[in-house]
Amino acid sequence: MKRILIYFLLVVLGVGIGLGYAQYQLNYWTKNQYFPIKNKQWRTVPSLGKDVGIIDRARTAVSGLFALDRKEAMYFVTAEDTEGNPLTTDKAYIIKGKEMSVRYWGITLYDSEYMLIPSEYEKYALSNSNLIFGKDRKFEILLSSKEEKGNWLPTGTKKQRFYVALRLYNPSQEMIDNLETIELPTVEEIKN
Amino acid sequence: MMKNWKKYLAYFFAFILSALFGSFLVIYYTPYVMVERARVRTGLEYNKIKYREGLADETRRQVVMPSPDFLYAVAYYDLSEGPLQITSVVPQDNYWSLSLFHSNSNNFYVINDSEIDTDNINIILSHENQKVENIGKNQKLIYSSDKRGVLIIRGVVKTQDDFDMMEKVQKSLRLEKFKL
Repeated sequence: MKRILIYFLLVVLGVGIGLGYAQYQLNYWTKNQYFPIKNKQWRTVPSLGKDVGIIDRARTAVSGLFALDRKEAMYFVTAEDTEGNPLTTDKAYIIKGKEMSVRYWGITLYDSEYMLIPSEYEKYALSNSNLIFGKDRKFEILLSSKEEKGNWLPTGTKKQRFYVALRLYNPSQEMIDNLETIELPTVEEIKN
Repeated sequence: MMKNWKKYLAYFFAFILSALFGSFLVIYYTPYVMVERARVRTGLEYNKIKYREGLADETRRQVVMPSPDFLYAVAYYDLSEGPLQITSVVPQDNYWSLSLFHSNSNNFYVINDSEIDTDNINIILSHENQKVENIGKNQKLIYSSDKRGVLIIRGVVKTQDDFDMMEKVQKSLRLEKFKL
């Protein structure tokens, strides 16, 4: 009888610790972008949407529910600048890049809870359909709390970490096969 | 103590296996919970379409990472009572997609406007145990391994004209019982 009670307590304790640890780990992975594929400062998972493993499925459900299959859309996220420092709303950044060979792409800013950043300007994203491109289809986007002209996205007034998400719709097979090396924009801190 | 090492080893394994089981439960069921939570937060009923009014903004916090340049229509489907028919107008020259997800958010089917030759789409969605025959020439038959899931229509909006057009397209979406 005593042994049964010990087993019962160990099972209850074990399941409880397992539940708590997995929940903590899932939150940690999500907050720290522990996605296995790295392309410079950007992160993604090997396959999103369709038939992924249970760990990637859980991570995606928490940080990007209803993500589409890779052939339809690719999703990259970064929480750090080119020097590896966390993106924070009290600093200004510049995204530099050039036109990407996909049907449609967009850059969106999210707050520390992966929601759109509140601001009086109601500007959350820019895409290849409304960006102002320069020579050779290159572009620059300013990220700051202070209003700017041209390609600009507000980071809001609340001091917090934030994320930059890049969505690429209808990518080529070559892009899908080269997630770690395809050329993506850079997010650099603007230093005074 | 040494005499009882087998007993303690059994306790140890019981604890470890229980902890692994607990972790598995969280990892496996989190997507199901997130999908259901999104349904409850948006107040959606099964087999009824929700046409999102306007583009996503900072107040839309039911689902993480909302895309502010897309107009959405969403429906949670339930195939328990038989197949469903999905019909919609398809826009021309504007990114638009129809995607189907299992109840754990697995995106098992997606089609976009560039893959559709006509200006309409007509899909028969059925559970894999419910075989459907004699579908129409212009109908696509899709089987789901899960009786419940989610249908999402996404349409890019670049201008006010796009918005007006895409709103009409979204409102053409129908989800109805398919008569066998």
